[in-house]
Amino acid sequence: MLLSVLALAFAAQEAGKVIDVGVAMPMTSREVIHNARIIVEGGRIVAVGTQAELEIPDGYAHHSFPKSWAFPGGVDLHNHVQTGSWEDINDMVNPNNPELRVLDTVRPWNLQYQDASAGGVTTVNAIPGSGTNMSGAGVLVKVAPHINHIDEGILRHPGSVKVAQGYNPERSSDLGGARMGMWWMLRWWLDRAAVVAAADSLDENPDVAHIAAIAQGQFPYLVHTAGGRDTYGTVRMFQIEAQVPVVVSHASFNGYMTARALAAVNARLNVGPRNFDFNFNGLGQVRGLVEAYESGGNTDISVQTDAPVVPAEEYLYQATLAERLGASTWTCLESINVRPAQQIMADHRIGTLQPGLDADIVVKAGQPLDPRSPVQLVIVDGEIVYDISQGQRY
Amino acid sequence: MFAALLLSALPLATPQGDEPTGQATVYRLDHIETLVGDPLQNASIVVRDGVIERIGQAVIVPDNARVIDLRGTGSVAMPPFVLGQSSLLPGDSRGRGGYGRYVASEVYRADEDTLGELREAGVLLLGLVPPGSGIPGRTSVVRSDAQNLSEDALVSDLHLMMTIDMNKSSKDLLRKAFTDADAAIEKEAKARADWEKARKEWEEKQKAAAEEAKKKEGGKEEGKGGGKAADDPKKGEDKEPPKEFEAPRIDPNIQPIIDLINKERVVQIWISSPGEWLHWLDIVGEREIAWEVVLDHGRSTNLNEVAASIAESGVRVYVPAQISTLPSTRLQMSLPAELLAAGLKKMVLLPSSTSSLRAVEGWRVGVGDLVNSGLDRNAALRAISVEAAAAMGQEELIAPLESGAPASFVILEGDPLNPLARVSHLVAAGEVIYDRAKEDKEN
Amino acid sequence: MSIRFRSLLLGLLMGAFTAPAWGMSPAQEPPVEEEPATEEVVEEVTEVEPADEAEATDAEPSEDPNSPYLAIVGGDVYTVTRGVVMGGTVLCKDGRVLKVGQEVAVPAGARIVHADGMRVYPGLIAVESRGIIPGRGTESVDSFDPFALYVDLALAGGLTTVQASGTIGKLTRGTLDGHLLGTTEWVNLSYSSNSPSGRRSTRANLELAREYLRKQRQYELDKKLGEKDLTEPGTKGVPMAMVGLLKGESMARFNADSAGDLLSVCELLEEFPMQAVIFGGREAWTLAPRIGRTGASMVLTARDKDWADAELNRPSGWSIENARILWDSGVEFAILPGSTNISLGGLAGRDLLTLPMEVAFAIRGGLDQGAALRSVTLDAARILGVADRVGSIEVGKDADFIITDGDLFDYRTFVQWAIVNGRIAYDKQKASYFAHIRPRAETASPLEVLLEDITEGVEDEDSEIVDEVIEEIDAPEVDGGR
Repeated sequence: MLLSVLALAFAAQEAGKVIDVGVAMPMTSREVIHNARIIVEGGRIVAVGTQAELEIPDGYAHHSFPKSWAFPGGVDLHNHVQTGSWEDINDMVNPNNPELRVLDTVRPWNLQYQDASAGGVTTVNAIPGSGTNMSGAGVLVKVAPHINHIDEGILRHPGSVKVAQGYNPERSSDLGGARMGMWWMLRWWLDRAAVVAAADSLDENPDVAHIAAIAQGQFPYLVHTAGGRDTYGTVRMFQIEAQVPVVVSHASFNGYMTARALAAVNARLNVGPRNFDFNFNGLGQVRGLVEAYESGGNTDISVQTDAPVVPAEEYLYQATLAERLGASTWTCLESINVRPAQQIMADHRIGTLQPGLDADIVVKAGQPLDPRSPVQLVIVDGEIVYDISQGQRY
Repeated sequence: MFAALLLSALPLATPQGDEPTGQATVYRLDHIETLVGDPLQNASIVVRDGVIERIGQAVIVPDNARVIDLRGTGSVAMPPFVLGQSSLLPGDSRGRGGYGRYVASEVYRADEDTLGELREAGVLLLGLVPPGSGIPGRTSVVRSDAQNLSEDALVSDLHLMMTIDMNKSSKDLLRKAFTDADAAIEKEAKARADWEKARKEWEEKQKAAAEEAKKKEGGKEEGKGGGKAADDPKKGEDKEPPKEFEAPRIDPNIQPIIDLINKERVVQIWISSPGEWLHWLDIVGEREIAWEVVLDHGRSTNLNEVAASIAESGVRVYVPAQISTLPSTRLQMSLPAELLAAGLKKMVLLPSSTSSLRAVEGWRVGVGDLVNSGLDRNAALRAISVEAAAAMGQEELIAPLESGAPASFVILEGDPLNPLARVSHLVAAGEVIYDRAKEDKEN
Repeated sequence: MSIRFRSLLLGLLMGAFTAPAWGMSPAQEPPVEEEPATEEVVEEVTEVEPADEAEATDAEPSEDPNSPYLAIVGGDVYTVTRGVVMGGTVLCKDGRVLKVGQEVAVPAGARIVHADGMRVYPGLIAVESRGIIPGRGTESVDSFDPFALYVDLALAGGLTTVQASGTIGKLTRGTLDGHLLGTTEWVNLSYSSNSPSGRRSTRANLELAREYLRKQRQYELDKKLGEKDLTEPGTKGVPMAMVGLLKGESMARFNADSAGDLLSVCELLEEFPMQAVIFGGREAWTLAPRIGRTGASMVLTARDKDWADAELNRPSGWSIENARILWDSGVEFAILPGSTNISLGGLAGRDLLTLPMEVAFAIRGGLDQGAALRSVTLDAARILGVADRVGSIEVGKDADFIITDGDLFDYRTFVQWAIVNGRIAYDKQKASYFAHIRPRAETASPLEVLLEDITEGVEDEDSEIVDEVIEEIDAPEVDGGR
């Protein structure tokens, strides 16, 4: 059944595609389109509207799902299964290696990515692990079977540079055994990157080229952080002091206790894989993390799997659980596509359904967050990459 | 709610007409927490022959009386503190088992350092609990000025102690104790029945023999017949009366349980969680036995879940004087207040630990916290003094301060619930057993 | 139970009907087709009208906390065996169900749970659990902590009965009474390709048992025929547990995931017919009809992830459709999450705190809602052998329910009350855990508002379709329909 999915990609010879659904969620606003029609051509979205207002152009393949929902493909910003396993995840010789890159380790259509695809994920930020403070550059990669080699699947390199601020990168008997050392080193690298960025001497300084590009505002850091102290510490170090784009990733444990301070600076929160806190709130509450950040005034929230910690295909389910645990519906709906696309600074390509953007579309038998309804069709760059009629993978 | 207790706790007043013999001592104080009625301001206590002769604002100082004037120093007197349960002294635990035969006063040794600190803390009485778990033994009561616990114990055998855990082996240990006791009771009853039957048979035989003899020797002279019968050795065998009844030997570890079943004894059950309370009720089942409950919980507890059930059982409850937190939370809860609200009648407040001297130091802090969070002040003070003494049957040593009451009180240099207020005097039945000024001079 | 009958039941379950109370007198029974005799059907208790019931009035009776009666009023009652009673009343007395129906009079003083707009389901059953009750067979009673955090949490997750190491325990929060429902009389049989010796000894023992039974039968026959000098076959060296299995007195428990192991178990069951439950069953979807024919029950996890073996020329690995395929082949099963404990470490949605969410993934694979409900209620009870007591809402059965604010398998649904043996064991608004999430006073959840908006804009010819989305009763369409 997998082979037939592959075959589909090559069978597509039509001029374009028309996808009709009962409900489309373009995610450009908090509104939906009923009896919607999405027209795709050359890997891009050409039009999004109602079936009444848009005609089916000649020669376009027509896919009709009158009971289904269509929405932008999922964008998982924290995912480690680029090799198909935990393999090659961290080079742990030095505590800070911003020059390393995940790019060369990616197996573009590995089994885990195939599962993710069947779960409605179309873009993954493939990143190194948190065993060191700066573990290298991740790559933003499309999830599709027609990507034979990584160069075909790169949405952007680097997608982000991975930083880990605590709860894992601690080194024994060395500088960086505790936060004072680790954070001193991080600030040292941030300072250097700022100097190189200001001089625009990236080529002459390959060891900091990746992070100097961040200092120039090209893409963000993605920082593994958790707990109230560290979560705010990340925002303070990167966003307030260094003034570089940063995605605050995990933000678990009692990180939400600084939610108001984070909201005040419009922090970009990438919450997961933990979805709740019980041990820290002291109230005996099973407290949903997304809800807790939201009630502190935060709106810029995405979810994540930290795959394989949570299986990559359960990306949408992470948002399901966020809503179950009290977060508002639209915050959760936005947390799987438009928000992460904005956070990773790729919203000009992905994250919403609007003309000109990549045709990364998910068709699902029910609303996005309902685990009872399966994903029926996944389109990446205008190509069908998953079709449930060829066998239900997830 | 304490009225009934109060009455029962009142010692007999000194009989009218008895001429006072000893010298009187008058303590002049700023404040007296009598624990019966309202506190007295700027009042005096007249002590003679170990008894409070007079107490009040306007007392006449008897001739030749020794006057200890503590007015203007913030002095406060109240009945002495009583440590309802304690295992502070050195003594060896036997671990878990059925050791009903042990009494605490023989297990522990009088450690003068510890006892001295207790006197300094204003503690006059200690309830001693045998160390260990399961059925570690029986509790005792000693004074803090005891020299030798086993000799000086006021009560060496007060109550039987039991602990329970939520597992089969712990419950089986208690169940077995009860069934063993049942068996022993049955065995004794059977032995007694057998003995009575044998005795009855002998009596009837005697009677029949006497009648037969009467018949046979009907014509013979009186007085001779008796001598003849006695001469006959064969007839004498049956005439030996059965011995006095001798009960079967009973395991001394089981005897206290038998006493319990016979309602001649009270058991003190130690509970650390609400589940254990239910398991204890499960052990007791339909048995009608008398018990007290010692709540032996840590900082975090949800014993409030069974507060109503405990209060309903009408028993005396010993509870640590502290604000607790509900498990897995920082939500605060006053278990003593919950128990009183549920209708508990008899409460004794303990330090947060029965085995730590530091907990004794923090005792009044904990009581203060409870009072600050709404527990009735008078009830709280009673629960660390006169209620605890009453629980030990020591009303004749410690009682609310009024005329005719035993002259036992503690004097502090400030409010009892202010932890900075030190104890200046501890008086036991008129005798000063702690005097800070004197101790300071000696050291 | 035959597949045909099962679908009849489901038809009843799916179509909510209006019914008067049953259990009053046969004449007043609801117009339900008489249920074919199955072992789980309970004798209906024909209660004599309780004396105080005569005093029942329409006016709100004042509640007596010690009343033997508990009434759940106004909810849609999902009975599992008798469809849905819309806006019904479940009346219980002394921990048992007395009456179910729309026109049930509530005796004066009865404790009342107002469930208007909510749903009443039987309490959920976990066929296996860790860390909730102590287990160890009947010993559980002496170790059970009825105030344990995990008992509370399990109730919050909708569970009222769990099995742990042989104990089938009820989550009788706050009391020890009625905790022990039973023990599992399972015989663990090792029959995996990982353990050839276990497999050999299992077979050898079954053969010994079969031989013993053969001799025993011959002996009984000879005795009947009046033969003399007979000696009863000795039991020395005979594995009596196996004899019990072959006599149908107990149930065999297997663990088997791979198609190979499952096939071996099927072959064993064909050779030695016995009651069996198979835990695991990852590749069961590849040989479902074969399993169905053995009559074995299964205990499954919907997300039992393991990939297909690319080197095999047959289907392999896990399938999200596993439960649906087994159901279609007549296999009875219970569903469990991947973790059979409750973890407070922060990862939600994969343990017993959210058992219905695991079932939601089976629904994703095509399992219909009726079968889904059975997998955590009645069929779980049948596997545990306690279906005469729990697993459905029927007259005479235990008063174990959960009352939810929505469809059990909707991810936004929370258990509002859990009732065990007629006592309220959990109340969402009184316990700390979930009270802050969509408090009960709130009516429509945000997504319902969203869906209403969608309905407004939909053209008439599609209204049926969208209605299905709103009701979310039908299984999602799997067909892409291109």
